[in-house]
Amino acid sequence: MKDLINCDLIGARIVNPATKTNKCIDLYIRNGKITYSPQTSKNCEKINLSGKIITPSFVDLRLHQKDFAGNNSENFSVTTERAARGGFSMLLLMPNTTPVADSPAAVRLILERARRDAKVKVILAGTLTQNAEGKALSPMGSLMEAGISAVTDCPKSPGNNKIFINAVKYAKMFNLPIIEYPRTSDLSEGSMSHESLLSFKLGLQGEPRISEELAVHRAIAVSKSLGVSIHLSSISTYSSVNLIREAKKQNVSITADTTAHHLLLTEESIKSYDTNAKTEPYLREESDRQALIDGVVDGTLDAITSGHDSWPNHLKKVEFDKAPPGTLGVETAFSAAYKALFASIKDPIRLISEKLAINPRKILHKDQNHFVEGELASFNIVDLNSNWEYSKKTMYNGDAQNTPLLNRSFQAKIIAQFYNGRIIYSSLL
Amino acid sequence: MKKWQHNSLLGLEYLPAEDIKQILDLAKSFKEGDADLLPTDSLLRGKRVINLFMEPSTRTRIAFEIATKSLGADVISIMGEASSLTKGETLHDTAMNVQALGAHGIILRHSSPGSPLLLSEMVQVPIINAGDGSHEHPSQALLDIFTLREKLGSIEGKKITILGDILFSRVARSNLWGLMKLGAKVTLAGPSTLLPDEVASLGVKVSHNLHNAIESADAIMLLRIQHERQQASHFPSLSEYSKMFGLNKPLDKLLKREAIILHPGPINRGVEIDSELADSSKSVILQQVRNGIFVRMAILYLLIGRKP
Repeated sequence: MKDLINCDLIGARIVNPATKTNKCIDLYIRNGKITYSPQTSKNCEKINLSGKIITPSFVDLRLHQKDFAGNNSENFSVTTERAARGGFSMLLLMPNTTPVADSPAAVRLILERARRDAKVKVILAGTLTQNAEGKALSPMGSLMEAGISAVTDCPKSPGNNKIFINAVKYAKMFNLPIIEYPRTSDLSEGSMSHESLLSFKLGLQGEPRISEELAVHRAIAVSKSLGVSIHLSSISTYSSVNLIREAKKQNVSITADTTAHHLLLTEESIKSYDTNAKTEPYLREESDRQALIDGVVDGTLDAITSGHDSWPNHLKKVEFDKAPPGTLGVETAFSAAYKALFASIKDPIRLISEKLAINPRKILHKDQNHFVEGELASFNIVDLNSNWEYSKKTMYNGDAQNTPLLNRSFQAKIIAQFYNGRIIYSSLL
Repeated sequence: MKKWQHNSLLGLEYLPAEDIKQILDLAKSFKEGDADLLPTDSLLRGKRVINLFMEPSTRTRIAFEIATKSLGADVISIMGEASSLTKGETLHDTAMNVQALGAHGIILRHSSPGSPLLLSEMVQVPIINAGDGSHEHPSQALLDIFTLREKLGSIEGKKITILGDILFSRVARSNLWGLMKLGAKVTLAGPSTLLPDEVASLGVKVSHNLHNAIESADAIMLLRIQHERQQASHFPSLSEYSKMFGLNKPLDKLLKREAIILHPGPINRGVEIDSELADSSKSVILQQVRNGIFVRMAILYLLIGRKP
């Protein structure tokens, strides 16, 4: 791929909710940096982007990559190649890695591998508790010194209330973003899907909504009581959305996200025991999906994540109860979210940019210096009328294909990503 | 005979009523010794059927073995727990091995819901679901319905109560689909922890009161309480279960005089049912076992025998 450090991007609409920009502006890239003054350059390619959109690049609040040897998931190189195609320039890696990100040595190792192999920026969340077992606090201060950017036990949640409260108090000292994946472990234990009439028909042990709801209640109560911000990850039920909406009305310092696939799909996707649709959290019912969309639209849900979790085919091609939960997502989050929201609101691109680019940075305490003259170019070019199909042919050719979105068609597509002054992905240029 | 359309028997949820009736009618012909089907031991001669039982089972496995042998086929039984063919392997690898043995049909018992469907996507031969986790147990439901039809004349309009651990029971699910398709009025009864109320939306009555559930029933189908798994979190004790939901002798007077009692076995005497009632004239438990052979002969013949 060409290293396009000099080009003229003409005619695109720039959508940047951080500055409320939503208009056509020509961008000129010189030596990888943004300028608005039309200077000529010998090696400069002029690209007509009329009808296309330019957005700030996205930040993912939840991505898993468990094994750096690539035994149980893809390696950083593949994952971040997928992320580049999905418009993500920064990924928050969850701590359920091998080794678990609960010691400074593990944190340094993981970040070193990321620096070596990743195509976009990978930042790391450390655990709240040792080995994410919910029994003893992790050494969060030392983890921060080693380079973590947030704390969470995702995809678990400390069951012991005292430990949870103390972990939150302790993390507050370091001003680390605290992320809670809301689950009540005894209610989720042994589950294989969302608890519903469908799970009854399929003979699958279901996880009731109340497993998430009780943990959301707890997080809201703890946030209120301690005056600490807590971010709730991967909300999946209508009841949680209602609780968060009410808490926000009372100015509780809670933020929340959902995954793009929860906005688009329901439990219907598992009715033929498709293990690729066994996600974490589980896909739920249409009433939940609608509530999640409403939550994204009215601001109850601040962000959209990919929840990306790759599994090689041989681990997913097993009996439904034995298959690990998790789906690919970082390549499709934008297109899936656009498809889901397009049915509800007109021109959802501004809203999606806010949920994928602006708010995740706020939640992670990151700067919002988008489209600043003199800065290295980092943004996405989007085609809203691409009409493409996500298939084995069009997806990045990795080891994993565990997605319920395979062979689905989408309208919107990331057609290029500029990252630190270079083009790291393009289907256009 | 109508041409059989299905390659496998995975469950009754998606099997049309007319196909359920076809199996039942053919089972009846086997039971009555229909001349067109004689000699029965020539019907599957030269065929090889694999009993792949990844979960312990005695009566279902033996009933399938007898049915297969009665039709003249060879049967190889592979018990998952004991066999080096399956030890530590994925279902996919096991399926490839079993297919390599030259099977004309596979009877699968497995603890994972949906595993027969998965197996049917991996191999070309017919799959018969002999119980997959809490999902379905179609041959059991068909023999139950066969017995009900034999005793009650028809299923249409009859009040059938399924009583016990509905939540974890594959027998309950398969019977529910089969009975509803044939027009029965089904009541599901049991403790609220083992019977989700949402099931009522399927068009059945849900009852947590034993008296209401049995008093006008034409038949009561008891389910085995799997106390080893469920006791602690789903009901306090076997004696409390027996007191609240067990069918005991004093309740006999509440039942219709001609009502019958079914149980898929093995029975926990004194828990789901009193010994006296289990051995009474109302009980058709042993007829169920016998009918199981004919129903399974019909299933095997339709799926394996009538292929070109």
